[in-house]
Amino acid sequence: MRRLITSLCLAIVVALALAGAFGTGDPHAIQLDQRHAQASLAYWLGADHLGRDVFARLVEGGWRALSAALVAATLALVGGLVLGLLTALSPGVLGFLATRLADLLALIPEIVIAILVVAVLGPSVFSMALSLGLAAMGNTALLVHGLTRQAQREGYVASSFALGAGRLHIARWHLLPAVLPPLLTYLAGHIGHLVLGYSALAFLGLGADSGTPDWGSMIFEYRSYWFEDPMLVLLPAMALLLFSAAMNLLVEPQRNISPWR
Amino acid sequence: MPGDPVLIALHEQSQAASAENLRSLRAAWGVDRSWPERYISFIHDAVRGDWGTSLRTGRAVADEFTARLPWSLAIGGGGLLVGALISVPLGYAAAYRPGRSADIITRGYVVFSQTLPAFVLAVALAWVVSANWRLIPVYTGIPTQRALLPVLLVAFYAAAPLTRVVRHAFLDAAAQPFMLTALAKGLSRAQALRRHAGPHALSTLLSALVPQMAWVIGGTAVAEIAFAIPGVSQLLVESVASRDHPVLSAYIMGAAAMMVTVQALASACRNRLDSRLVSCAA
Repeated sequence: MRRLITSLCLAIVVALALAGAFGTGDPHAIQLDQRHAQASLAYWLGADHLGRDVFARLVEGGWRALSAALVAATLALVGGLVLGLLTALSPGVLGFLATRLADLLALIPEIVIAILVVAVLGPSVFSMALSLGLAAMGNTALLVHGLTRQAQREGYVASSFALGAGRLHIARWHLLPAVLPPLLTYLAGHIGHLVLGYSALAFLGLGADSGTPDWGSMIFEYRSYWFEDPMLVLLPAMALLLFSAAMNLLVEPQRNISPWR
Repeated sequence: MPGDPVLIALHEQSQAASAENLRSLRAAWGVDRSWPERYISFIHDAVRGDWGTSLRTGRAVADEFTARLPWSLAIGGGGLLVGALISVPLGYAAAYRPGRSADIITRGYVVFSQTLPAFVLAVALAWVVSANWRLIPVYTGIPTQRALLPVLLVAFYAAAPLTRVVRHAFLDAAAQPFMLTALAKGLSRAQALRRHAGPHALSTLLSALVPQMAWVIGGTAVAEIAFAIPGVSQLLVESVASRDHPVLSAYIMGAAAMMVTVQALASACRNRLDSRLVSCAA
């Protein structure tokens, strides 16, 4: 059953990706004679209050959210690795600063980071990706720190050290291979959260400008047409739901095993 | 810097962005100085209670915030409190018989809350409860009526991960040897869990509340925007649009100070609940 749902969700995501790659209607073309048009061959999911193609807007918004999430995840991966390895391996001032920075990033709410970034760089998709990446970086660094400490206790690290290997060599060839697989698993499971986070920021009006369609800003924009055309709100909501459900099902968390039954 | 507040203000007032206009407005707002200079004078004024004036409205930043803080504190604080109160019985029920109905239901609740973003549920609630069913006037009611749904929304999302934390803490404590002793003394499972695993669960809940605060600050913003509450978040979104730096700096400082204070308070509470932590630290 779970496999069926997962493959169904994946199939829809792949179909959407292909539709985005091969081009749909123009998501920005305004057709006032097509306002609130029903779903048809020309408008797969109907048109909005300005006669814009809802399906094309959904696809474009989905692509942007996904690319923002991937940029954010890459930032979190690189920054988290550097910070985490520094906190675990560098005993001096550098390690101290890295620890404080990681703690701070993990503690500060996402929205505060987003506002800080927007105040400095102006609102854009990259600002949102950067703030989501920074917000995820703190927890990633803490995870890398724990994993590195665990790997350092292994015998092969001690024997490599006894053979005279330098700290950089040990970090590159013995610690990184131990840290990377669980870290990548964690970040893959985090992509869904990043997409939801991006949509929430777009809903608040911190994403791209109001003309560009994002799932979050579409829900914000269309919510005043709830009575005339509820599908306008329901469609982006369903897109979000489908996406995060697929992501949740793909990365199934481990069940706890406890003697208490 | 992109999005110069001076340019935006001149544009909004339909004035020419001439060199003379730019220079006089920059000097009036003090943005012609270098940023270390501005930062030092900002900190210098802030510790003396002067948070500057909003570039957009011209009112004192402190006044702008005090007018809106009650809404945000009620929604955020109330939501977190209600969420924590819900999570204890739910987590306890899930831990009492792992794998049985209560456990499965709370697990479904957590997955649901992770799948459906808060702002989608907020929009749906606002329209269905208020517009379709006419239960509570969300946009026009008295303050208590207007704050009710936002508080419940924040509580719903704050409680979900806390439920799992509480359940996990109960199960952790249940695996300890002292639970066997408690059962051997003749306590029932429920009594043993409540008396001997309870403090551990509460202490874990307290430490989980701090990272949850970070979510609540964002969730409060979503609830305020979705339910059109005149709280801090609305001010914030307007200030971002016009690059109102004094308001934004004050918010960032305030939120950071709040997080640090809450962290200190939570660890102090934990130390009171669990004396072992103090002896470890000493």
